[in-house]
Amino acid sequence: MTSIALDRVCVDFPIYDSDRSLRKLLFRAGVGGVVRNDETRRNRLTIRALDNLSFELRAGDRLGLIGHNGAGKSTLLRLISGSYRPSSGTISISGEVASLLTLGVGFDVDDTGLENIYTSCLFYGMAPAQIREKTAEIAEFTELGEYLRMPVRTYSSGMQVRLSFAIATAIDPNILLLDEVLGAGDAHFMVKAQQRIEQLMGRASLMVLASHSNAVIRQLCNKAMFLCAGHIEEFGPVDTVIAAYESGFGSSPSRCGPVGSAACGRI
Amino acid sequence: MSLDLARESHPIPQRAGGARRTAVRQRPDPLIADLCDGLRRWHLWFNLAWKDIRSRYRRTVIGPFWTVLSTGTLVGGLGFVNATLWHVELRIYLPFFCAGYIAWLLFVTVVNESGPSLIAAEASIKAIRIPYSIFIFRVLTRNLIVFGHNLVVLVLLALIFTVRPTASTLLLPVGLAFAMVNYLWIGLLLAAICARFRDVIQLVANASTVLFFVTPIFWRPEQLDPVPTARFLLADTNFAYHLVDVIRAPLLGTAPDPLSYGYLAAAAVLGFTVTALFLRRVYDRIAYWL
Repeated sequence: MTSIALDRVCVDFPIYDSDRSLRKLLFRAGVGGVVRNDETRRNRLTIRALDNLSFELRAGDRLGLIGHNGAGKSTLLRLISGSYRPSSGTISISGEVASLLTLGVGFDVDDTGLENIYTSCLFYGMAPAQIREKTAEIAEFTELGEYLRMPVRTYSSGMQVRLSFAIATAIDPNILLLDEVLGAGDAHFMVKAQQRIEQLMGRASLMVLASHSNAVIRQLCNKAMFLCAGHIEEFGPVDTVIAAYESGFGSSPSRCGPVGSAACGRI
Repeated sequence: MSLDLARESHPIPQRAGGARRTAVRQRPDPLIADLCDGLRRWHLWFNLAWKDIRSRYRRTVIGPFWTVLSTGTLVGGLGFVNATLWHVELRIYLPFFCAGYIAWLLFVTVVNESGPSLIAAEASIKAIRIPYSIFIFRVLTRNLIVFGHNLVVLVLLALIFTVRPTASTLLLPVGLAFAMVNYLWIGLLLAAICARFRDVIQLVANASTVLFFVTPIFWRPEQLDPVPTARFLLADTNFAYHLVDVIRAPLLGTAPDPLSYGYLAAAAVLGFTVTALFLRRVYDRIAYWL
């Protein structure tokens, strides 16, 4: 059964700035002694990007993540994709994940569209035989025609969106993660994307999408989550959450600042 | 499909009141899990390595022959000078220097390219779940292909100076295997360390330059025999010497010292242990360092 469950998940980003250096660490150890060195390590500055998140998603859920810049939307998606491991708390995922968090996973802009389909599918974990099977389908969905034989550096961002989306959804994932990337697609593509997502959802799947466009969230999602400085402000039906987000816009900017609360933690 | 059907991450042990709690639940060793996952996806790293070679020579006229040409020029030039200075016959010296130098090139490129390998793959690592070892296998494969190109120089010299292959030449794959296994842990360890401490990339570059001069590559280890301490430090206990010699000796048609295999086997066991212990501590944090 496809599901995502987070239990008291925190993500702390270590902040290194210019001290990302072995020399400084050794130097500090040299002058500070053991106790002091330990002290410095323990008080290293971190940013809490996600603060104590607990929620569950099941098959059929299409969750839209909304929130200001820096609210933790992308971090949450990277956590679900498995790129990031939580600093504390547990996350359990069942189902095959395909994430489209940046445009073109594994793309080489000097390669042609077709070559990039092959490489990118390998990144997503497909076997060569499977890729050969799917290439025609991917090519057809993109509607890029002869452009697939041209280097990707000649593509517009909308064309890259078409290609990336076609690849990410070609592996028939149970869990689809999308971050903002659909934005560059035109209206015609959005309709096709919506159909493709609905097709996936018909097979007991789950989607999490982050977007600053309430229209996109309304169009594609059946649940929404309003993230604010790393914690869940509102979670539920799309309209309720969007209303809460919009009402919170001007009234209390300080409560939902773009920067997470600074905390002390381990590097 | 290669993505896990169930995954559970565990809390990083927190330090509370000075004492440290460790995660008690069973979890596969990160190094072993990563390597298994990475090996299984050989199509990906082989493809990436091949693309690296291709893009290096994209829009050049003679392509990979640039590798042959640059190695050939250096071997020819430095070889001629050294042979003249030391009054050694070119016929003897050039093949020796060439074989040692291309084995050294494999070492130095692997070591120097492993450090930044995860940093370079940041975009992919942050976009999907992917084993880190894929990017080390990519570096190893890419440089093994370059090694193949460099062999052309040696073959040419062997033809000119009529160096004949012997039964010992067949030990080349064995030597390469011993070296590559060691390069794998070195690469993984360096990639993880360099993700956190960016200075180490520069440190490795500097150290490997010095190592070139103190390792018997353009001079013979026998030349150290009058000074036993030097022989002991620069050859017998020198990791780089054994990594080079298990490849160089078969290329010259001689068998390497069996002790070299022993040394490298011991280094591999020790190295993988250290790497496993290190990754157990830091594996979950590597993505945050990028």
